[in-house]
Formats: sequence, structure tokens, C-alpha cells
Amino acid sequence: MAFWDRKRMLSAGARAPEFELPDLGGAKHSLGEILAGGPVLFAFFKVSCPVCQFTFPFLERLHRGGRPGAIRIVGVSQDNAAATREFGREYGVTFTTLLDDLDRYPVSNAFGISSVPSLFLVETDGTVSLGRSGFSREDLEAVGKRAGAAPFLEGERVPESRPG
Amino acid sequence: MALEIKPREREGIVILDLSGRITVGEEAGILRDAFSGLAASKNVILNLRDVSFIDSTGLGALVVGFTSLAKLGGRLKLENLRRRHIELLVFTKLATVFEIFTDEQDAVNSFFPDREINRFDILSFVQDQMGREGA
Repeated sequence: MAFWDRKRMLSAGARAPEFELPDLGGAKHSLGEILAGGPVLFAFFKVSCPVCQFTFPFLERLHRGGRPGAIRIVGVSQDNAAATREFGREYGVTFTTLLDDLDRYPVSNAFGISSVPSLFLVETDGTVSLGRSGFSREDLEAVGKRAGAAPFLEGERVPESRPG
Repeated sequence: MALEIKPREREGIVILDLSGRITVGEEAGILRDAFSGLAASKNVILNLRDVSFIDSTGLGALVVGFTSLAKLGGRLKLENLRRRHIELLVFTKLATVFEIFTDEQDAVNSFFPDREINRFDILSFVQDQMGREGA
């Protein structure tokens, strides 16, 4: 599928919407509380999405290899807790994952996403500095540079992009 | 010709412009992957204007899209069907499942309860077909 011509998705310069969502353990996290620990790359996903399954192991490398406090990775799932846990087990995801409300998907809609994965880098002041749907090697390398971790291994063959 | 999908949005509704064939193999897989990549709760219109052929596997992919979107709070509707597509939906009784539109604005408006729309009249189509066969 081709890349989207989007008008509704938050892009660089926009302000991230305030929210509060539970993690897989049921503890609630607000945007303000999350950003207090530094900039965050939010990754919206669905467990059945092939490009999400492709992308998340690279995000996990950023999570494991990044400098403390540089950039944290937080997943936002559009599936229930059981399916999201299974996804995490299968793709080795250990970073924090929040669960969007399955009735109305308010946070997904507030970020204006239409496809998954959709990634948003949010700075500590709440400003979005990157908004992208699908997989982009260039974006992950840029985030990795800031995080102090390499998302891709030496010689690893990774496509430039995969649309979500 | 492989299936090509160009996504766009109109008033928050996702419109997928399809061109090619929706048939067994790679083409049906491309359509299923496109549905998998859509965010939850999205309302979607498939524009079939440039789809030349749909086989049983392609029809299955449409049904999978319909059910997977519905499970996640979204809806799937169809627009710009060719006569043979409509015949296929009528023959398989799927015309009672999918909402069909001949005009894109009507299809978009159908997601907004306060708007008036012109629906495709499947009964007229069937009666017209029967009239042709009887002639």
C-alpha cells in the first residue's frame, strides 16, 4: 500500500494531547508523568499488523541499548491486554505498553492515526518532533542516534520503508 | 495486473482506491495486509472503480476486511462497483452485508447519521437484471 496523504495525524510542531492510559499491569500513566522522565517515542500498534510485527523488534533494540533518560519507547496497543501480552512475548517487547480504550480509542484518535504502526516522538515540553506512520529506516536511525543505540545490526538488510 | 492500493482520507473516512484484480494469491494478500495495517475504529470505503475482477478468494478478503474492521469498531463500505461486481455480491447474497454506493460523497455521508444520502437500490438492480433475462 502506498504512503498516506494525511491531514489529521499529528506532525512535527503539534502539541501532544494529554491522556491517561493503563499499562499491562493496570497502573495508569498520564502523558505529563511519562514526559517527566524525558522525551518519549510513542508507538501505536495492532497485534495483527504485519508492519508492527516487523518494526517492534527494532524499537526493542532502541529500548535496551539507549542511554538512560535519552529517549524512552512506549507502545500504545489497540488490542486487549491478553493479545498485547502475547504480542510482547512473541516479538520480545519489554518496554512499557499502554492500552488504548477499546470502545472509542480516544488516544489513537487524539493523535489522528489512520494506520499502524504510527510513531510520535514527543519532547519533554509536549511538542511532537516526529510523527510518522509505517516503518522508516531513516527515522529509526535518527531516533537511535539521539537515544545512543543502533536499531539495526551491522550488515543487516533492512528496507528503507514499509507503509503502515 | 497486481493489486495496487492508494489510501487517502476524506472527512476522517479512509478511502482505499484499488486498481487491478482481487484474486487468489498475492493480490488478496495485499488487500488483507492493508486491512491489518488500518488503525482500530476506522471507517473505510473501498473504491472498486478500477478493479477489473474479483474471484472467490478476493471476495473472502473483502469479508475478512468487513469483519475485522467491525470487531475493532469500524465499518467497511463499497463504492463505484462495476456491474459484474454487483452481480457477484447479489449471487453470493453479500449484497445484504455490504453497503454499496455509486457516489463517493454519499458513501462518506453515510457515516454521518445527520446527513441525507442516496443509497444504491439493490432491488432495482435485481429487477432490472430479471427484466433483461426475461426479455
